[in-house]
Amino acid sequence: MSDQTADAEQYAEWARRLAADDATALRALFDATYEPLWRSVMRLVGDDAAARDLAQDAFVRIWDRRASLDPSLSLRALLYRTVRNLALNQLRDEQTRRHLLADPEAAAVSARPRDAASADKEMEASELAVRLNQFIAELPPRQQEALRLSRFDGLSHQEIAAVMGCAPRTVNNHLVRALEQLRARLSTIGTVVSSLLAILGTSL
Amino acid sequence: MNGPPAGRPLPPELVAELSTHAEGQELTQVWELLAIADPVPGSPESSQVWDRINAEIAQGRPLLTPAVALAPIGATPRSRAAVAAATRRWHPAAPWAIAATLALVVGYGAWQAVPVNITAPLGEQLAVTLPDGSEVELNAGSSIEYARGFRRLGGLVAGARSIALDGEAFFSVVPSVHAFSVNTAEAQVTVLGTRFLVRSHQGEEEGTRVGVESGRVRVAPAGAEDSAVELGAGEGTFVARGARIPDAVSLVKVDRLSAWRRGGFWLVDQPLTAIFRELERRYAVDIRLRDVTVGDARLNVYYPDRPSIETILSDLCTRGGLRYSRTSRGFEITAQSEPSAKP
Repeated sequence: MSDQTADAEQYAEWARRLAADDATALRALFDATYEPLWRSVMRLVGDDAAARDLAQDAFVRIWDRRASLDPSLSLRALLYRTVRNLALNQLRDEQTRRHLLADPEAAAVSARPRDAASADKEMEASELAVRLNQFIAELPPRQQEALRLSRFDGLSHQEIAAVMGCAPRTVNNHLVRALEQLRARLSTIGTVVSSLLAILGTSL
Repeated sequence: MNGPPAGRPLPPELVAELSTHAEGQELTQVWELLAIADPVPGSPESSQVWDRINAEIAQGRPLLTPAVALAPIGATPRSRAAVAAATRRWHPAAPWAIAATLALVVGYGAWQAVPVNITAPLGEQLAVTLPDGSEVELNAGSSIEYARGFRRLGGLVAGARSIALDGEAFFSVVPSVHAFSVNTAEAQVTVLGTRFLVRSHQGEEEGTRVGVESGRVRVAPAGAEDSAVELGAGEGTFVARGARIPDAVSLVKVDRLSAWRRGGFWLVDQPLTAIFRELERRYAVDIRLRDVTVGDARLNVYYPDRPSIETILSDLCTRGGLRYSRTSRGFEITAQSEPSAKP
């Protein structure tokens, strides 16, 4: 995708500027990645204050090692990997923390039975979103992580591979398995995906 | 940077995989459906987070090397040049420069109106800490001049940080609300806090060269502030004598432009005569051309590690069909065999 190429060039340029002690590059990197990064950490730690602290830490760490940044390696992947490792360390240290934000109980409570007659698009979409999140949360952890980084954060296979420490080929396998399982789960609640897409069409 | 998830296309690897998958179409639809599924609501507070990041990186970072008192920097070579330190020679400042420093403290009032002029002697480089803590490394035979203490005439308040430069210098500017500007015969270079190089030998070169190592700087032709260009890290430009606009911004290797800071010798696209002039300054020698014209062919020369002047001369002469010999004050360049050597 040319988008991803342009992205990659942008990140490479920031990496070069960071290596030259250019703090404005850190600012630009922060502006471009902080929110998706925060979202990504939120999924892991489920706590806003903790997610902000971890994201903050990740940027400071990138700055601390700016001299050794390699522009040919994705700075975005490095950021995600840094924040992920920080988050996993913290989760390990504080075992009381939930692993995932999507709380199956909360999801169950808000997943009300569908009233087909009165279902307007928005209601349907929000209910479906709850179910989808629940299904995603039920995926094996590696599949979940690959899917989230790819679908929600827009990382390339290369970047995801760098974040998760596996081969790009494995990333692809995780994604296919994840999509297969989601499709199977959707069909168990009597949902035909293509018709849903047709209903939701305009809102997508 | 990241578009809304709704519009995110399938990654190419996945497209390839699903094109041969029995349920490829349905799986593609699941991907699309996931547009409504990002489970994290809301958006984070960001300005406080940035402030804290900024505070942290400002504390521990060696963004600018520690300030050194007015030259000489003698026994305190900087860490980033530790490797070169062994072979590098820093020379003590001229005694009058030290006297000037003392006078700055003692005879403050009387000195107020007199600008500070610091010149690196031929054959010597000089590191200078300016009143605001910014640092200047002066190449041999280059000089700077600035208002004492950066103060406005007769005033106590520090005003704009303005430096006049004749020659070549590398600047490490500490951030401040006051703009820092370097003025040469051809150009005005303005910054807030950054590291960059300016070169403009009056009456000798065709203009002013600027290269930025980090941060951003503005470069405008002297007297034409409206036609400034902005340079980022790794970028450079050139303001030709009398030009109303600077050259197009180009990528430059600042570590090479400033190779002299580490004892190296680097010149790009210069006629032989200009290279000889640079050698004269750097090595405090006299180079005479006898019965020979060197033409105006342009050369690049790059010696990263403190080369001896004879190494450079020998290479140049081989290339230009010339010969050099020692004289009492330096060197003499003659033709190798024919009376008019080919450059």
